[in-house]
Amino acid sequence: MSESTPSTESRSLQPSTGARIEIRGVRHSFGDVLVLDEFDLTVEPGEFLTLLGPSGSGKTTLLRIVGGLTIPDEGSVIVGGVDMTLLPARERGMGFVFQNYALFPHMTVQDNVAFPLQIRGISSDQIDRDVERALELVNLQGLGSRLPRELSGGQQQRVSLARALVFNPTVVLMDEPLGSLDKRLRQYLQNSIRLLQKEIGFTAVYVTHDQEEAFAMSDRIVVMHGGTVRQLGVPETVYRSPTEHFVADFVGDINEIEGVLRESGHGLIIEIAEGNTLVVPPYVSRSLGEGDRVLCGIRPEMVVIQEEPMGSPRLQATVELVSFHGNSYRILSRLRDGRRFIVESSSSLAAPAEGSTVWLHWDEEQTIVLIPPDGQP
Amino acid sequence: MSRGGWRRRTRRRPYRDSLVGLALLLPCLVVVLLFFAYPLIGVFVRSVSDPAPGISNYVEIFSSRAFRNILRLTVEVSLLTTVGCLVLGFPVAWYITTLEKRRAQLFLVLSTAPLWVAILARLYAWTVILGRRGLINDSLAAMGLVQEPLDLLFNTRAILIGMIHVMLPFMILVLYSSMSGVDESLVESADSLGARPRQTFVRIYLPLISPGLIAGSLLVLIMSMGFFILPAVLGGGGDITIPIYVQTQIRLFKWGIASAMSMILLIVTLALFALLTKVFDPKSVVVGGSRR
Repeated sequence: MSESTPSTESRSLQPSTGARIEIRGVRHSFGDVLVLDEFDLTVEPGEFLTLLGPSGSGKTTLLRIVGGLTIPDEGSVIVGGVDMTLLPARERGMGFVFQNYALFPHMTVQDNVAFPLQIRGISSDQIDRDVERALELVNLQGLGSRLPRELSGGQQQRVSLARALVFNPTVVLMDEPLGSLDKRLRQYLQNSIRLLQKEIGFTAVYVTHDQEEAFAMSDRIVVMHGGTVRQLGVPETVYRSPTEHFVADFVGDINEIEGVLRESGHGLIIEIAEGNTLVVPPYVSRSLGEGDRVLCGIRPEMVVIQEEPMGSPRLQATVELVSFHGNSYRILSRLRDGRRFIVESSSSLAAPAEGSTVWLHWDEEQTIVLIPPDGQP
Repeated sequence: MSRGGWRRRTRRRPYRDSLVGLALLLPCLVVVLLFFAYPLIGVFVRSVSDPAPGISNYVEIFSSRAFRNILRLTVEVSLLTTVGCLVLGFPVAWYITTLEKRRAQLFLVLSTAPLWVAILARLYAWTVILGRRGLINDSLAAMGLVQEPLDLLFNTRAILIGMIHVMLPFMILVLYSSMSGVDESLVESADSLGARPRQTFVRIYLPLISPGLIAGSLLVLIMSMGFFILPAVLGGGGDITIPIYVQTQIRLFKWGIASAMSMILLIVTLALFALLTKVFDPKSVVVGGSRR
């Protein structure tokens, strides 16, 4: 930054500008199975983008195509304005973090992290400084002489991260890097990775099937299913305004209630059980009319439990099971029509008694209205 | 809870477990003691007692010039066989690891198919191929490439060809098992970190498969050192290796000399074994991928 910066300062791990990644019309199959179909996606420079989807959705294949470990059948990958579709991984200069860490078992931590620098012919003094700094960044200083098998899973993954960052890539690709770690460690490393990414500024593409992890880390999320983009957006939008049933269901628990569109004095409304009506969000009314069926989704934490019938919309329910989760209660209830309805309420509020009759109320604006696919109610 | 229960159960059982272990080992132990350790001691005792007590047999062997040639030929042929098997077996084993599972099985079966044929049949097949009126000489003569038949059979080269042919399947099997244990993501990881294929091969792949390289080499080397029938058939009596020498001594009822020679073969083999494992310490290398 300033002129007083000593010239010996490491060149590595300096704030850099990430590269833009453009994925255009990528199609790929394994044998007869089409895993990616006409896939288009742009990742902005310095963005943290997560590919979220169930196994078999094509997310890992897409990541490998960006990283050069898989060559797509069709389409192109353009990074920083350069078409890299056919470029081998070693010439792309991207950091790649594998789920199983992929540390070289016969090398010490130090040698693992130094490997990409040695390959690049950097002087050994410089390498020592860069490796030390990289290990400091991931909080592993002093462990350089250990072998990977002498480290815990979390430590191994941090070595793997240091190794992927040490040569200053403008793009870092991560394939479920925290998949095999326990929950607390995962949350800790999620924060570390995100802070590092913000500090250094590389473009990150992250693959996970864990929606909480995707929400916690990402600038934007791509929900994938069957080799296509189902929804692309910031975490809040994906969670609150999913565009289809698959996304709504995949990114979190949701209570589903059937509704029918009715013409009222002021336009369309949605009629649901027990005489409740809901306003129709603008994106629905454009395509549907009187008598069409919709699916109304209500997230468990949006619901307020009341002992008296108050507010609208509200549904009467019987409490079947109350479970305590530390910061919240999960209340399993049954509506009068027999459907299950899950409510999550803060544990600072009193929990209703099991077997009691309650009324469930939520803000109608927060209802997620989904158009069911043809042939389904 | 469950952990405590588990502990208690294992604590109660070590005595019974060790009894079971001993029972499982016993048949094998009996066979080894009876048919390996006892005869080996017998051979040693004979080497220092027949015809007269003392080390006269060893003195006689070491003072003969022929012995040095025999020893050199034995070691030379064995080492060259090992190198030949490594050079020929490595690409084959590697190629099989790149195949999908069912094809890999097929290729493994094919490359070990020679093992199903009796060794004598295979060796006499080589005499048919290499002989003065054999396949190669007849073909070369028919093409007018040679006037006189080449001496392909009954020399060191013939022993080497046969030796490599017989040992190659073992080398391929051992190399394949170690190569197929290498985690593909390690190679991909080196690739993504910028390593050229040659760098990945030298710095990642070779160290990872080195236990297999060492095990395969030792297996071939030790088997070659003691091979009798092959040099006997393809060497044609001119090339005498230690096992052949031992056999001729036994035919002359010189049991003492034969025993001493056997002991020397054993010691040389063990020394080579120790040397190789010392130079390439297999314990410094882990097979396969990372934890998990």
